[in-house]
Amino acid sequence: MKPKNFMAGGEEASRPASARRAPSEKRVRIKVVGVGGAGVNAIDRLVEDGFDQVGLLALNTDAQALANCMVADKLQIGERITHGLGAGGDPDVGRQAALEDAEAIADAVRGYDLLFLAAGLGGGTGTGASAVVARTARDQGTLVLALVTLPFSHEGAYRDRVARGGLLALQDAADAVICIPNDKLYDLAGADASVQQGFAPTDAFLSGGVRKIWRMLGTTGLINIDFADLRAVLKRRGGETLVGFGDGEGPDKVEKALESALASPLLNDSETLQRAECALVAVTHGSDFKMAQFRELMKRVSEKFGPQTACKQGPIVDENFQDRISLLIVASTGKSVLPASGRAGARVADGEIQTSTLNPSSVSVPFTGKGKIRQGVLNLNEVFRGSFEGAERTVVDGEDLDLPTFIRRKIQLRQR
Amino acid sequence: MSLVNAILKRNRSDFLVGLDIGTSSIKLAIGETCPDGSLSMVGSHVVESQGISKGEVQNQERACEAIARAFTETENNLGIGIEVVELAITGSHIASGTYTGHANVQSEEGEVAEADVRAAMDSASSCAQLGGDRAMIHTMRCTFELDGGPPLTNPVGHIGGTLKAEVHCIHGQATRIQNLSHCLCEKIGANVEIGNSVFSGFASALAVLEPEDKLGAIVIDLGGGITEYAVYLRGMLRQSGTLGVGGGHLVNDLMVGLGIRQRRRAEKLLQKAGGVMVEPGDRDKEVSFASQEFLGDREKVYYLEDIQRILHARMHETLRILRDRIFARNANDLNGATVFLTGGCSHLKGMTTLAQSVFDMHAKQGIPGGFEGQEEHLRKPEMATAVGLVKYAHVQRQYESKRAGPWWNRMWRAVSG
Repeated sequence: MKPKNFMAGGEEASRPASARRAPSEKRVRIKVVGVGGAGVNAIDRLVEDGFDQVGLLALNTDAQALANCMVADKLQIGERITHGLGAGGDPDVGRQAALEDAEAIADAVRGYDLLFLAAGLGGGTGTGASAVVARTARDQGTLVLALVTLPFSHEGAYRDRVARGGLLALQDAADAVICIPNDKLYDLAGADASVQQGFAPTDAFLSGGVRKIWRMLGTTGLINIDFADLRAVLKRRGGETLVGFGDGEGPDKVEKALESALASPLLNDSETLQRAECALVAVTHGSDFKMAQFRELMKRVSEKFGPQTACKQGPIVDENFQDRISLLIVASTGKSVLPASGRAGARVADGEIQTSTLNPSSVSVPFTGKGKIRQGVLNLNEVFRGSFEGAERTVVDGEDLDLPTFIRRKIQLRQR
Repeated sequence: MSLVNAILKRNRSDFLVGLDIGTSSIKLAIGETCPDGSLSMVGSHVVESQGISKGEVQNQERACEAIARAFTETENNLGIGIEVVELAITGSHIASGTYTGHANVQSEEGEVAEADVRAAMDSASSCAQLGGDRAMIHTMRCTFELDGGPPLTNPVGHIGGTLKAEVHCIHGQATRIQNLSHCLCEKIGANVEIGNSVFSGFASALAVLEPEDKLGAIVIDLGGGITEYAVYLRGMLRQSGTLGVGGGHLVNDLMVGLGIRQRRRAEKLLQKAGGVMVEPGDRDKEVSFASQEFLGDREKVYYLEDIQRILHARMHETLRILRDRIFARNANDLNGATVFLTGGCSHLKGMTTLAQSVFDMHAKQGIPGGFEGQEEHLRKPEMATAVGLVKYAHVQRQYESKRAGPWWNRMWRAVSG
């Protein structure tokens, strides 16, 4: 087995080139940042689980909350604005606080390949500061994967609006955003769960996701899945990201793993899965895992995807996994369900959240204007290149800028 | 040739000619140095461009044809002969960087001489480590430091041991830079010499910025095929670059979005109804546009909102990319800076408002200035590059004549040499 390396090395100033893999033992450098109250709680869970292979950072405006958290690495932002008292539910304060300490944030997230950002949207710090943190990290060449929750429906329309605004800003700033409505988590915890238990699945989800991706990247599989593959799936797709994982043990381990992976609140959306453009399926198993079982598993997973999904599979052998498998699925769609900026009159400039222009109905319900609605989705390969035919393409961050922006941003037009 | 022309031709090299070969038009600006040393603009000419894509030659034959036409028309209109031109260079291959280097002060007393400054700057620009196919276009001094002291703009005459220089270098791919000059010299066969080759974005900045603006300014030249930008901080050029997106993309987006087949029509629509902000009040407004179909004219109706959405998406994206690039390097020093928009696309309705919201700074159109003369059509944002080229050459000449000293010195050198 060839020695494996995911990252070209620290001296490489910018993004890792997958083509250049020097044989060294460098691991992918991962940092997990919890932003705001809910985010910090989530990474506290990682500490509780004894997961110390990655860098953890708690980031909040609220000094009191930070003092109570177990993470060693803490960063209090916006001292001058909030005097350490939190953002008071105002995302603008959260954003200003992050901008004020932009340098400290930049220092804290410097030098990592992958950054997990955990936050609860709907409040002040998590909603406002997340986009700033994500952008800061992305500007330094870090792949940013954000895991955020949306407020419970009983928290009211205002918080929902604030959260949606924050989500738009974050989608703009991060490479991929995985968004879990708290209502779904509540369903998962069951009606009898205490309030505290109701939040536990979020924390468990984050903790589990980080560890599984860490394992996928850190182990040499029979077919390699590496950082470049993960980047390819997540990188600025502009669509939805679905993540699910599950474990299975015993004779029907395949069945169990599949069931729990697909039942995961972020993956039980079969319609979205059908639309997925690309997917990564990593299976960690022991040496006793049979080829027939593997094929069966992959067949079952593939069925869930649509015909156009490019699926990358990676069996990973881990001797600790005798008669046990662990399954991780990361999929990404090309189409965005949430409106891109510009639709419904919402503009998201620089992580700024314009709650006034965003009403909740325009987010979930498709645009209902006068005239015929034409979805701005064309087959990108056939788009008329006009005078740019034959000219050198202008490609920035993997996007072909010669193609009309409104198509890439999925902005709907009213008529033809 | 008329007698007037013949007389003028004698002094033809006194004219400074700026030649901006753009994607949609070729622009010439002509100036001359007044007896008192100031710059006076005497004329300009604009012709439609051909064979240029994203600021670079794509079809040599057609490009040469257009350039030759521009020369002939200008010479005839203004009655001058063009001998030396200052050429604007652009293209997506152009990149820039700021580098530092050191040199030991050579004199025994430790007084910094011009040679030490050169040495330090050379050491700095060599840090750029250009590959074999890349050529330096500009090396511009930023700041100097003597033995870690405060920053100096001109260290000559100061005392110290080690001189640290910071320079801003703009470089490009050698073959692609030569393409244009090759077109000019070889193909056209015109008796034209290229004076200075200047990066377009830098030229535009020279044209529109007053000295006090240079304390903090972002100049964005939104051209037909390519956008250039230059960032000035504390009087020095700190960052520059290009993005291969321009007005042609707006036209193309309209064609795709509204199903317009002829390019001219889309261009007209852009001029007539182009706005980059989605105005809530324009929500139900319609734009009717006569189109020539098979059987007579037919009115086509577009929603103004659609046009605005398409254009907003494009310009918002373009400015965001520039903003991200600029803020990634100079975010902390841009407080109170102004965004200057030049180039044809700066005329689009709502452009300054959009720039203001994206950059969160004051934004305005950049109007070429700092010269005399009645040439009002030169005081337009799209003429910035051409005017900047003339200004560049003017400053260069003044610098050279200052170095050469007064006429008796030159005479003495000529006689004794």
